[in-house]
Amino acid sequence: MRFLAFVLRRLLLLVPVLVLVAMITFTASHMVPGDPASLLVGEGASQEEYQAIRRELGLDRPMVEQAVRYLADVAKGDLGTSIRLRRPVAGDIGRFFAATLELGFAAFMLSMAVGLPLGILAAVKADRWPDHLIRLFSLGGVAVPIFWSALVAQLLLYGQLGWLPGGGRYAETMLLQHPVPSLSGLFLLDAALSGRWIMVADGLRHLFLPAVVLAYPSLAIITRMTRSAMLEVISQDYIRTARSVGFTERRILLGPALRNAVPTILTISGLALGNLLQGSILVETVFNWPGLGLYLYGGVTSLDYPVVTGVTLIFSLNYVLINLLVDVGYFVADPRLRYG
Amino acid sequence: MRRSHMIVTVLALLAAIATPALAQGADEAAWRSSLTIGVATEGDTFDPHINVTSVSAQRMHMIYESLIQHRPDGEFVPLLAESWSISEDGKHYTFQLREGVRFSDGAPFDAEAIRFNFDRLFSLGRGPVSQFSLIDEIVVAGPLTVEFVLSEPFPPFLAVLAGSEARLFMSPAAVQANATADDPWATAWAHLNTAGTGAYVLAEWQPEDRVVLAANPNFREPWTEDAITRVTYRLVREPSTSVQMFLRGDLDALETVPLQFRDLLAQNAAVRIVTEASIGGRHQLHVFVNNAHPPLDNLAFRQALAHALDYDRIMHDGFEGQARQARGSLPSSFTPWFNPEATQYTRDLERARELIAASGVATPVELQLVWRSDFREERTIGEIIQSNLREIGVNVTLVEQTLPVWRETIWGGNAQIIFFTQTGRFADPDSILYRYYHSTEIRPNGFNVGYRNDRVDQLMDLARVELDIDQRIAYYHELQQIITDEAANLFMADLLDAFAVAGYVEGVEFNPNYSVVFEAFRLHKDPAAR
Repeated sequence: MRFLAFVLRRLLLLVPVLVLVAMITFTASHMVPGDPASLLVGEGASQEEYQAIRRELGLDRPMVEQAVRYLADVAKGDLGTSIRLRRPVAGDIGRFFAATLELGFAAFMLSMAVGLPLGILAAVKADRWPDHLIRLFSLGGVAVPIFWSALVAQLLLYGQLGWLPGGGRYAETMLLQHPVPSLSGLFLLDAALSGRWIMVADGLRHLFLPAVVLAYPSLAIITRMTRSAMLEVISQDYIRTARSVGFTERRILLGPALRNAVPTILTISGLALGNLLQGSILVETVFNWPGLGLYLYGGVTSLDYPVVTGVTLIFSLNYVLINLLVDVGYFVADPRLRYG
Repeated sequence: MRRSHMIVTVLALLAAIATPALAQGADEAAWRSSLTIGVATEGDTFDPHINVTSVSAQRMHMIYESLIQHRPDGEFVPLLAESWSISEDGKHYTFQLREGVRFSDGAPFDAEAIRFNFDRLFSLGRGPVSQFSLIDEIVVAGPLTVEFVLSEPFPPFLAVLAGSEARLFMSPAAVQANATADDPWATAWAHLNTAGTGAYVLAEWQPEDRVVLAANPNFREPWTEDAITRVTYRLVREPSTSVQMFLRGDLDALETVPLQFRDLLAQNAAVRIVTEASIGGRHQLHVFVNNAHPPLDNLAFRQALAHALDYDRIMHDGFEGQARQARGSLPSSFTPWFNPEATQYTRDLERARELIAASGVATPVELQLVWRSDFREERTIGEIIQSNLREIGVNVTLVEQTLPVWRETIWGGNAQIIFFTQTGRFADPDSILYRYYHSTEIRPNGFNVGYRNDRVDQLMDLARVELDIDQRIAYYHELQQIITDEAANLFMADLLDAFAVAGYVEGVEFNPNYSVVFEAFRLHKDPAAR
């Protein structure tokens, strides 16, 4: 009951948070000098053409009126119409979200699947060469800007060696021969469900490099924090007790040690998942991955307010839900919270 | 999951990712019949009657057609019209339409279809409608004969009809079939669908990803076996990614070549780069001078500025060799209108100092030079100008502005000296020169930042209604001479478009009268040259 009340309270808090985010983003994007009508008509357009576009897009209305209208529409689930593409933003977000979800999920799984074991290994081999090597590797992940690693990885593995594709979700010429119906919007899932295994393989090839690049910073953080959490835990008395009663190191590590490190790991994983969204903007741009990041990039460069505000709302919603999931995870992982 | 199962799964995934067979791509026939063009910008609509951007016009170029078009040398040639005549008073333009042309939905193209399209354009009152404001009446003189009656003679009208914005004609049947009570002109449908007479139709538009055109089954010319039946405009925002994709063969062409990669591509024997000045889009970059702002209203002072600039260094360092020094206010490729005898300023510091002394203007003089943040080369050029003008006692402060703010600076009459890219709506000197140099364009929201000369006004007014082409040429040559002699602006550069195609793509031709467009129907891909 206590748990349900907690979840309900957090969900209700979502509403004022999103309203605040919408107001801040709307205001900030309108404070940028000029307006999107200018970019849309181009530099050679006359004042008459420019004003006509402003009227058509409602940009000639007072800002307060625009803001109120926008918030009222958002409350009804209408995120407005893209100024540049002249399409409903909500529909486009739905289309792009699936691609970002696919990339983000793959990157998250990679960062957890690699980061956790590396962190544990680094803790177990603390201050020996495996630890040093792992820490050096993870230092790269937190220090190197993601756009740099994306460009270098692309240049090396695609441009120079041709081992992997340079961008996109699939090879268009392959798709022409093996069409994949759009069932869920998740390309790999749709290809698998329709039995197009060759397109599953092609999709994986295209997903691999952007996912690895996107995963690297998060993987690095997870590695470092897992190492720290494990080092703290394995110095505790109950670990010494476990050893003294005959538990193997493996059982200790994967049992009480890891379990007690879970709260810290959960926190970092939640932050890492949130960071993946930020990194996706640059990774999607470099690898031409048609996700929310690329959509946002196009919106920012063309002052497309509805797109910028809509995507920011979605990102904010993601952050809040991820944090909620992390808190739920605490409840599950830590009996003291359930019974205390 | 057991460890062994996990290992097998991981190995299978890696094998899938690394499978070399996948890298081979499609078979040869599929490769030959598709053309993939890398583009850096995305259009915003497929309705030519509401379009205001040159990018969208480029995407629609192979879908919608005009009555006539420009040959690369500027001559008008038939397209949907096979012949035309102009009345002696210059107000009646009669076109004989090509027989047997159909829209992509099978409906016939005829004179009634033309009138319908202009009815739609004028009713919507958007997009390129201002280009056709002189049309008083459209007369359907026969099934394949249409007459445009103008309110006054306007010799550039043929250039208007040959321009990108005149590629307008969509199937009336398709519009009517998709019209609703709230949307009688089917704007919602036309935004995302096409029904033109061109060789291609819109097959797919995935925003932030690609536009795909498919062969129009009702195109008037037959499709050969080796024809390109699928064209993909692939949006690639990151310049290095687009160049890599082009070099690896994932793109057959690049619509624009990023400046920083031009030399790299030029050195590649398997790549053909076309670098030329075109009228379409941005064709010249100058520093516009507010002739009404002291001391810029002083002729000798302006000429001094013009003589102080190091044009060679500007071309080399500012444009990295991708521009030619301008000789006045029209690009040199714009024949026959360009005046090759117009004054071209060269760096002569001694002369510049003499002119400063003769001007009576006391130095030092403080000026603000505005540059646009989306054109980084303007900053580099601005710094060169800054150092050049300092030598004659003129201190320049560089001011960065975004496009919207830059526009407000121009329209508000607040500019002193400001970088300005000349563009034209259609390939006629009137389209380019009138808006920048006629005194009636010095107004709030005009693009003339302060130049005024009665003789230039007179020449432009005469040229606008003169039907004799040789006389028109003479008028424009004279006014170009005046404009350059008076250093109305600091004339910088003819901007060179650069696009790249793979060596195996045959038939690409550059037409300086349009922005970069690919007539894919006329192209072929040679597997032997791959």
